[in-house]
Amino acid sequence: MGKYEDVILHVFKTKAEEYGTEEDIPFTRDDLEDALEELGITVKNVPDIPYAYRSRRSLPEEIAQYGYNAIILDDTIAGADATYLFTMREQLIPIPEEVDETHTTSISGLPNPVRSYIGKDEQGALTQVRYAGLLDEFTGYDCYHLQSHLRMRVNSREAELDDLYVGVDEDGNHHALAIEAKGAGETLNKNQLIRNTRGIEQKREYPNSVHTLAVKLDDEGDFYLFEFDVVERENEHHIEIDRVWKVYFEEGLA
Amino acid sequence: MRHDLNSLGKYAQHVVAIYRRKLENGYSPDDFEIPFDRDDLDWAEEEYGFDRIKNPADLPYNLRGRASLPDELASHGYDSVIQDVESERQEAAYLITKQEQIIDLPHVKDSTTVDPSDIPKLVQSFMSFDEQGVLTFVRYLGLIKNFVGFDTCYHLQSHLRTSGPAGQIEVDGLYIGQDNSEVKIVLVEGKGEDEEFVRNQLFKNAYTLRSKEGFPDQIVVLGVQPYRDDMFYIVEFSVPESRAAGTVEVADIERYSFSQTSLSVWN
Repeated sequence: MGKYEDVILHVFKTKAEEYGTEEDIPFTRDDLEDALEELGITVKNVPDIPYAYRSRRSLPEEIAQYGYNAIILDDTIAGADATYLFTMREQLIPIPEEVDETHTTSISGLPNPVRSYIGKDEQGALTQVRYAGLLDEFTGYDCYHLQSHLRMRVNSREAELDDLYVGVDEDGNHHALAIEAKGAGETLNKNQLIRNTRGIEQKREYPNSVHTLAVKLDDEGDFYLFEFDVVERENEHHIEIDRVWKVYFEEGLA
Repeated sequence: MRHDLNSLGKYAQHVVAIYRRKLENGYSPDDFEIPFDRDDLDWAEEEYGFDRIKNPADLPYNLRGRASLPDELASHGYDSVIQDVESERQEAAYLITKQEQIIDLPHVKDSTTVDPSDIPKLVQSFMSFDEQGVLTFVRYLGLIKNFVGFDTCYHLQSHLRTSGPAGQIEVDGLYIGQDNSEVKIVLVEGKGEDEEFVRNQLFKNAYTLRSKEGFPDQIVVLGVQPYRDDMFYIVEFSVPESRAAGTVEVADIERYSFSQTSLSVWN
């Protein structure tokens, strides 16, 4: 069993005694640090433990057997310190079996040195998307890359967006395009997409119209472009897939 | 002994206690660096009943620069606590060092004026003038190629997160270029105006990328930083292969300003 699994299991057992296992269970960074201390484990990047169970890893079976399927950030409690939830709500967004359109792209259009060293991960896919202008095709807008790795606060807690573009439609209206990227071993998750969308919406310097997009790499080195609908119903945020393109890499990233 | 340590902060009291014990065990205040690890932290907590440091990786962030170090160490010339990158230990391994960690950028007299017309007006109107904004300006304007003087230089990716023998690193931008037919990788670190470039962080980033298979052997380490709301720096750092071979120093620096009439970000 790895370090992360030991720690998360320890936190779960401690908190489940306190809260029971009928509903979502909250915990904090302090709980993670207490677990590290009690287990005598050192982890350099403590917030990566819950992050791993938001997008990279499945919860251990000892936790999943109670119906919990992910860890999310709890935005209902104010404060700078992150509060997490073991949640029973379905969080992960798998790649759909059927996509709306398929396209091909080739790294042959890239400058030679970039072609040789382009990352075989989601950052490489983002590089290809930018060099090949794939978002222009996907959205139908004229798209301009604004910045990468945008750090912001959502309900006073930190969030990070992988890429931000501005798109201009045929009537000249501006749209913010919030891009989340996931590598082959990761999964898109609802909580993160919703938080990043709300984060951009709350920033007054960007257009009011915000599109929630994602780039997801698969095991073959091809990738998928997603657009989502993020809506609020009965005080709850919901996210649904609007459309998906599969983009084949002619020379493959993997 | 105990009561004078209790007046210090959590991180400082641990390091002072460890420092005193190291002196008893043969180290001297003349030593340039004094190593310690998790076992030493555990000892200090056991011996003095200090609040536990749950995450030792926070040590270098809290004890960086002479002003943040307790007088008992600073008065002997010690500057910071840093991760011992070359120990290649996954568990905590640190050094109390006299090497100055915060890099003072040299004064630059004149700015180079750049023409922002290659940045789409729309991008200008939505840009923030922080380090990420400057990274975007620099990319649109092709300034990295001009600065390093390579024959070619292309943006490879933003935000590389990777691990090596010294743990995880994050890099804000990666470029790839050819210089006299030699392929070189350019690593770009962005800092906000109120942040500082730190020797050991730059060394760790370069050390980690040099140890990665599939990357060119030649690495150029750059920094970008906004300055006074309407200018920015590009800095080249010389980063030695090992800490024994030298220190991270500023090799070149350029300050850039825009011709303001044509840049809409400040209007």
